[in-house]
Amino acid sequence: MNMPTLQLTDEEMRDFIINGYVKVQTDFSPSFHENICQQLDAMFEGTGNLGNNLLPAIPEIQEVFDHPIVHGAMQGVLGADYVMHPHRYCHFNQQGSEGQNFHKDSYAGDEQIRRHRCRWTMAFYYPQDVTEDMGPTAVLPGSQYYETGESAHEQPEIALCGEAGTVTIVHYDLWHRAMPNRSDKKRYMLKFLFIRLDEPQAPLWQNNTADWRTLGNGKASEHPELWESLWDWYYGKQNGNPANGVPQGEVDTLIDTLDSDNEKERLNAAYRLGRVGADAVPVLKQMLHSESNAIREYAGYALSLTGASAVPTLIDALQATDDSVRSSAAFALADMGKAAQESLPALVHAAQDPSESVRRHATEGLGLIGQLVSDEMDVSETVQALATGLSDAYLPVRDNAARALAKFGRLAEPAIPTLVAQLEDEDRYVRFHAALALKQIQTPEAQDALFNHLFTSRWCALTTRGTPF
Amino acid sequence: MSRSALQLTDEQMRDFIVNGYVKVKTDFPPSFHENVYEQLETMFESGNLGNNVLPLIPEMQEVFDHPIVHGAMQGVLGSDYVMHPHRYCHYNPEGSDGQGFHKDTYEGDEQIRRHRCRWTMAFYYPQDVTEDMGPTAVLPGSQYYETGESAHEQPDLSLCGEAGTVTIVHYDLWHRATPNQSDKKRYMVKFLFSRLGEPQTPAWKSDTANWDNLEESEHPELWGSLWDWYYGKQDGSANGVSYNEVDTLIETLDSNNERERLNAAYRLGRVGADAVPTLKQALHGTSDAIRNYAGYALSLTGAPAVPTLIDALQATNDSVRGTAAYTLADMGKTAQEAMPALTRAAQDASEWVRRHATEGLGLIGQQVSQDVDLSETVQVLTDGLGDDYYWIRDNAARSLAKLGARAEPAMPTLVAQLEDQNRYVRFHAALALKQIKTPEAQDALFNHLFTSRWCELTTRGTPY
Repeated sequence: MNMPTLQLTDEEMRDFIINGYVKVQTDFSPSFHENICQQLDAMFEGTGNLGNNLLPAIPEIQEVFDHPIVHGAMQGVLGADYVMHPHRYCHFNQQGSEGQNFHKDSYAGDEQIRRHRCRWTMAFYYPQDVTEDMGPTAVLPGSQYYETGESAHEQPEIALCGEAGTVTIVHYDLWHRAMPNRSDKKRYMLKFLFIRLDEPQAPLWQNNTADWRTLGNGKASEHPELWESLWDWYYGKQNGNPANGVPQGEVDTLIDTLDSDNEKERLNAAYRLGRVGADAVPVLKQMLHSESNAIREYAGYALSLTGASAVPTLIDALQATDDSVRSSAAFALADMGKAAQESLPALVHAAQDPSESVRRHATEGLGLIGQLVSDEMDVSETVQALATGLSDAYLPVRDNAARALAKFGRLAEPAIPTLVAQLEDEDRYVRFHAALALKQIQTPEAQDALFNHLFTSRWCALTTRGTPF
Repeated sequence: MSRSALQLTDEQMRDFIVNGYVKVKTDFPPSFHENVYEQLETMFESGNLGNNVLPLIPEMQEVFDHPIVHGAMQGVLGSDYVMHPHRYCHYNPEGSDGQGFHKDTYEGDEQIRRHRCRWTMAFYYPQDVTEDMGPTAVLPGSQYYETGESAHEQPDLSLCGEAGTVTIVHYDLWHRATPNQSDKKRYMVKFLFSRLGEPQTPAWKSDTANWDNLEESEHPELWGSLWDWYYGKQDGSANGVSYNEVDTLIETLDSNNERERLNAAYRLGRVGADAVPTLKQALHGTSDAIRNYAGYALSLTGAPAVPTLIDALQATNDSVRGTAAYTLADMGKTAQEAMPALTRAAQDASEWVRRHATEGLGLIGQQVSQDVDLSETVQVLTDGLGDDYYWIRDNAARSLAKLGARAEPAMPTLVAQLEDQNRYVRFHAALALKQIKTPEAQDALFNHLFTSRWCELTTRGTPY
């Protein structure tokens, strides 16, 4: 994409890492949004809610997301190569509605995986002014890292009010809801999904400081290691660099804290453990083999942050007899990215594991890690494993396999025939990701196949039942 | 396109040239067509979606990708033909009265009639269609007739067939829906296709280059000239009609009998350079009908007629300039010295002249060798994308598509016209971006296409 961008500032990125959202305002004329509102009215009166087909029916909406301020903000949080996901939905909050309860969304075409590192976002676009009484979307800032409603609800509720053209980009795991609409006006909110394609290499915002602590100065630091590790990740720093600073003496206490009643404490303990370094690995290995899903996951975050010195332990864990252990190991390796590159052969093996959950994470990992090492190693076996994954019986594996192949670009060429076949997968999101992979492969053969698919699927927004030709 | 093709035979091509249609039968299982039929039923519950029937039911694409359909289409439209964005499901209900015979208008274009086949329709039946079910009927050979009188002298032929039957017809063939006397509904899904390249070599299994070996002929010069055209032979290569006939033939252009007029025109086109002065007079005459026949004759005459036609682009009468531009366009590569004159004519005050000149810049320009500088032509076509008349914008976009990589300077305007107020211009702008093939053009096109990409699995019942 070579659209113009208005980049985020350090402070906006900091706030996104902490609060999980960034609100921007486009500068289209009011008539632009009025036109969209009218088309939405017509859709609800005529066909009803078209769901994912909202965009081909009203393609003008694309311009909102191509706007420099939206595109620039999205690049900041999702990288230069982010793509719009095919799930989108017009949330119609009617006059007098009672609103929703706070929730996290499930991933369309994926499992109920929660990620601290931001690889998916939602964007909420208002095509009309939305005031507090009109049932705006509300968020619980910072709650993207919390799995429990208890922790989330300790955060203050923020109503996302704004004029027509306001777009709020949120971390996919942020708790949110539609508020009650007490006004006599309807409220539309168009939710679109976006996904990261590359892993961060360098800051994609107007960056003046590499130092989180300077930037965070004066901000309450409730999750210092978590937030800083995400800042470093956005900076393209490898996990496990010497900036540790947590003494081994704390390990026992921190491990105990992983079992605390307080989620925020557990989270902080996990990220502090990740800063102890190699010395914490033996203990974290025990936790990784724990029977508690929660503790295993926290150990996974800690091992991911530990980086290279944790990799052999995680590779070993891919051989564990317990499915959940193998799965946590695959997730942690995937999340680690390039630092886990020596695990690529083991993940290729794990992508054929009998457990769906292991295959799902391993498949994702092959894309996250493989795209970063592809210049240095032969990835043909990886591509072959992913091509096989395209016909997995388990949907999230197919979806992740297609997305992972998209990340490989040209190197995924041997998968072309299977990708073309999956353009007719029974699942709509797999179809999209197969198309995306063909786009990224960029060979004439892949492009021809994709153009055939896209010209067949090309909806004409001017063609309606009233004007059929 | 790398799809496999089952090519037509010489006999099938001959029949297509003579009769204007070719009927083929795909071999999908019955369940394939039943599925399409059921989806059409569902669509009609809330109304006919017209052009959007394909993204709604993308399985239909497979019918047109079938080797026997694709091969036949290649034969009549060349190897790089494209599916046009107009398509329509014709629903002929039980007890209907059917239609009167008619020619279709060109979607996104004017009411132009062409002897050379650059557009086709394809009629696909998703269910068996028997004589009593209101099949589509055609008047074979009538694609060259402008009057219903001539057309109706042809026998009325019903296109019956099993589900999966596809009939490809010359766009100008007279046709109709016949009355449905049965108690079954009949769907016929009509798709349009257009030629991108001009013929260079036969795109069918050809064993003989010689038309005369193939057919007893009612319109020998017309049919023979089309065979030669399909063979990629330049106009003016085969003559054989004596100059002595010219006076009689010119008079016949005014006959009451359309068939005689047509034959006279094509015989005149075989006289060669000697007939040009007389044809020039006819071109500048007062009768539009005679002018058009003179145009066909001049087109067939080829190179010796080009200077006369270039001169006629300067005539004061719009109609003369229009016919001259049409004729040069129809001639193709032989008229390449007319490119500068047509480039000027594409800016003519008359939209009729601009329309034909714009088409000609594509038809001729795509065959001009790479060392000829076409930048002015591309600039004029780019300007044409902003013409007030949508069929000029449409032709400009299609011509740019034919120029391929050479159309690159038009890219920003093509991207803007993806939002033209006319839906066919939008499509042809997209097509041109596809043909330009630079990474920048492809990026812009992918952005458009991914935005427009309809998901058939997404319905009101299953919105995500």
